[in-house]
Parts: sequence; structure tokens; C-alpha cells
Amino acid sequence: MTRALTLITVLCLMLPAGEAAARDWGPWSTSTEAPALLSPADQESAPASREPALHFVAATPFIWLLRLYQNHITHVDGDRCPMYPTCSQYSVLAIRKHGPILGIIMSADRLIHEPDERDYVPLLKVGNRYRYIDPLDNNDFWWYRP
Amino acid sequence: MMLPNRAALLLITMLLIAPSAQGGEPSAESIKSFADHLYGAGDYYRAITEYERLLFFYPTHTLSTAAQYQIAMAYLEGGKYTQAIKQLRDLSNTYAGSEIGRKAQLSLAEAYIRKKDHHLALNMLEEFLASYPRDPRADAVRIRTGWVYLQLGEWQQAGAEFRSVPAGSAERRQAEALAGESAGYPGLQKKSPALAGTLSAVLPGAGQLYVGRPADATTSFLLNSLFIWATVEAFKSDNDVTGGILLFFESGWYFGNIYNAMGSAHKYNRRAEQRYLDDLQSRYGISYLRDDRGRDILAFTLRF
Repeated sequence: MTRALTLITVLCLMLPAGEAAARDWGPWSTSTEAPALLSPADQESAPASREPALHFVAATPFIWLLRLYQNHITHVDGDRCPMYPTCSQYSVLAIRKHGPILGIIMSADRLIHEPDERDYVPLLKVGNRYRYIDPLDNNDFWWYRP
Repeated sequence: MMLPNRAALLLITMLLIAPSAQGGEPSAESIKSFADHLYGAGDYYRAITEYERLLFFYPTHTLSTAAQYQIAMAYLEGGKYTQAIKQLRDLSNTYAGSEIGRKAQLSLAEAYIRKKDHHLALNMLEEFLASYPRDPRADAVRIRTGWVYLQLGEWQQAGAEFRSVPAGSAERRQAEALAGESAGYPGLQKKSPALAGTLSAVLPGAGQLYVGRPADATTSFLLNSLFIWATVEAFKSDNDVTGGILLFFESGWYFGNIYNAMGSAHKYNRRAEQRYLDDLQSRYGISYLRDDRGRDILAFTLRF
């Protein structure tokens, strides 16, 4: 029993799956081959938090863990997130935008809604792979007004 | 063998002309034409460069104002709303009252609509109507204002706006029809976000089932069941640290599940509204901005 619990605990640490998003976005356009999208770091949908100092302190450990995952773990365990931005990048954006509590809740929501969301959102070719576009503002539009 | 004098003269002339033709800048018309071609192909990024080229080499040319407007439109069509708004605001202020200023003001309203700043868009449209009540586009603008109210779910206000199109106007018939259609807005099939959230709070996944997302419901139910079970077992086995970590994760799944149910209900309602607006748009689509060739620039083929 103890071993099973330890295994589950280790697995949970790996749950915010997804590889670090590609950072090689070039000039924008709206052609089908190179759709207009901003790089995750520049997304207008994720402006800086209204309380940068407070959020920065509270969010730093979570962001650090997510960056650790993006920079080291995902290269080993593979690219499993079918969405854009990737799940870990989405978490980073959510935590930066709404702070750690809401950011974590929104990350859990993202992981839960992966299966059915694919029926409603368009596909985007990122690198050699198609991903479902599911930005932050697709999931906070009902309560957040910038 | 010597060339005839005329042929030699022609050859010399051509040699003198050739370098200047090679190195010279194309005419403003040519640059504009090429930029328009890129714009028409949806290559807005490069189109902006060409319009900027025109402005750089021919800053006082009659086409320069049109180039500035097209840069703003390229930003708008390319989804760069912040830049489009800045450019259009400058244009509407600089050329207030002129045709380009009016077009910029209407395009500014469209940029706000696409940016989902509907209230700012309404301000722009109402300001336009107050400033230019006799503009040939005024009635189309009234209808557009009604559309924006519909997008905000304010169907009664939308109906009033549609009915404000004066009798005798070419748009009157369409406006009357839209006023009648807007009354159908309250009858849209919607889901209650509060009920969805409550259902998922009581039984994880139930709210997702209510909003028609069975796969999400299964995911949510299984994740929460597994983590609740694991947390309980950890505490029962006196593994308090493991139990605490699992409880932390379970809290995320539980509240994420409620958030997901409520968000899914809102998405469901948004799609219902979108279908309703798309249906109206397909039956009553109009435009109020046309380019030099009479083609629609801002038709109601936008995504609301």
C-alpha cells in the first residue's frame, strides 16, 4: 500500500504534462501555412498580473517547478500535450495572470477538459505537429475582464 | 561590319536608360498595387512593409493616406488589435470629418469589437452617429450597433437600435426583420453555470455530464475518485506527509472540476449565442465599408 501511494505521489508531480512550447515563432501572418499567433510569452491574452509584486512572490516556486519540468523532464518523458499552448506553458501563463491558487485550479481545469474540448476548437500546426488551440482567454472569458 | 547610325543610336540610348531603370524605386502606384496584392492574399505582415515603403519614398503622395489606412487594416485583419487601434485612432483624429477619418472611426469600432471591448465599440459607433447623422452609412451603423448589443446579450436594447432606422431608409426592411429576430434571443437553449458547478461539487463529473461533456465527466470523476481514495488511505496508514501532498493535489482536482463545469456551461451558452448570431448574420449580412473597387472591407462576416 505504501509503495502504491508513493508511486501515485510521484506520478502527480509529473501530471502537469506537456513540453515547453516552441519559441521560434517568426513574423506573423494569417496564411494557413503560418497562422497569426503570438509567441506564448507575448500573448496579449496573458498580460502582466495586476498585482505583480504579490503574485511574483507567491508564483515563483510554481513557475520554477514548471520551468524545471519544461527544461529537463519533458525532454525525457516525451511530448504528450495535444493543446496549444502546451499544458505546462498554460500553467505558467495562468499562474502569472491570476496568481498561484486560481492558476493551479485553471491548470487542473485544462487537464480535465482536454478530451471534449477537441470537438470545439480549431487545429494549429506547431512545428511538425497539429495542436488544438486553447488559450487562456478561452477559459477565463466568463469572469475575467482585463 | 558597322551598324547603321540609327541602330547604334538606339543601342546607346538603351544602355543609358537601363541602369537608371534597374536602380530606381518603383512608382507609388506600383508599390501600392503590390501591397494591395499582398493584403488581398492575406499576407498582412509583408503588405505592411510595402505600405511603409510607399510612405517612406513618397510621404506626400496622394496615396500616402490610403497607405496609412491600409496599414491599420492589415494590423486589424492580422489580429494585431492593439497596433490597429493606435493607428486607426491617429487617423480618425488627424483626418476627422474627412472620408478617411470616418472610415478609420468605423474600423476603430470594428477593432474594438474584435478585441471584445464591446462598450468602447458602442461608444465609437454612437459617436459616429452623433457626428455624422446624414452619412450614407448611418443606418448600417445603427444596425451594427444593434448587433453589438446582441453580442452583449442586451436584446431589448438591440431591438430598440434596429427600430431606430428611419422609415424610408434602404435598410429599414432589414432592420425591422432584425428587430423581430432579436426577440428570439431569450428563447435560446442555455445551461446554468451555477447548477453545473453545484452538481460537480456534489459529485465530480456530474456538472460536466449536465453540459454534455461525457469524456470530461469521466476524467473528472476518475481523477477525483482516485485521489480521494489515495488521500484517505494515506492518512489511514499514518502517512501524513504523503496524505498532505495528495490532499493538495486533490484540492486542485476538486476545485478544477467545479471550475471546469462552470466554464463548460459558459462555453455552451457562448456557442448557443454564436450559432444564433451566425444564423442572423448569414440571413441578414450587410457591410458598410467598401474599398476603391466596391468590394466589402468590413462585412458582417466577422467572428463575433
